[in-house]
Amino acid sequence: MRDRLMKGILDKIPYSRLNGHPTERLPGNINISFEFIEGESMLLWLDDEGICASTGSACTSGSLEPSHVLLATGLPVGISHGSLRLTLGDANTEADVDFVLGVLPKVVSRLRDMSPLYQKSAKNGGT
Amino acid sequence: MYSETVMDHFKNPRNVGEIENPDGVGEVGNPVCGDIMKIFLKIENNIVTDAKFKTFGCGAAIASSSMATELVKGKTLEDAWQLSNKAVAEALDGLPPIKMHCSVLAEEGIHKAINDYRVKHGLEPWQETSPHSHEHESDTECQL
Repeated sequence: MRDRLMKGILDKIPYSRLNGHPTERLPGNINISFEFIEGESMLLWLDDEGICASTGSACTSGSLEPSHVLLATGLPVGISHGSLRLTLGDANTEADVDFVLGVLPKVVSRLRDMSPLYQKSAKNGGT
Repeated sequence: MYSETVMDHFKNPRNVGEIENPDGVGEVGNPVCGDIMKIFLKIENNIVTDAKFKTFGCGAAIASSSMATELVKGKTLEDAWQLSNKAVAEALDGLPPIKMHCSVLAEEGIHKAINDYRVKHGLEPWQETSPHSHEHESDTECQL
């Protein structure tokens, strides 16, 4: 289920990248960065749709700084601002995965449409 | 965390987009800080007849851009220049303290767009009278 959600997001949303290893990671954990957008605005929209997610680890949720772990993996700081963590638990269903795969691309695209970075960079083929 | 007005301007932002052949453009912030605002102004007979924005940033940054562009429309350049970050934050029914820098960014974006217009017309750029760099701790380390 996690892999379907992860692959679905990466397939549906251009300029997205998986943080961490594709298979050697915690079973329910996904962390993906989306270029050209900022994480908090993404969370507000997801929350509005009833999707609980996070931009960083639970232990740094009060911070505006990008994740020090993501930065340590070599992720550029500008892109790290657009990171999303989705964690699945045993109460989640395949329908939840479909729901997120329906909502998330729309949220990302809405925010990219108002981002001054998007058109500039998309024309140059991204970063 | 955010007021209803902030959420309204975040979810239904006014004036999103670009102006074709703008008379003044101001881009402030940087991707490292997580906020970039680009303000476009249409200016006729010293009046801001249209204002639009594109913003990369948090909910407060988007709401501040939306409110600031609303507030400068119809104003003379002198009055638009006087728009303070506090007025933007008040119009939004307040911003959390760690997000006040978003309203500062909106004020700076408007100022930069106005000065872009002035310079293009052979006028002296207006000087910032109240530098904001010490008002908020969170982004001082983020000044590049």
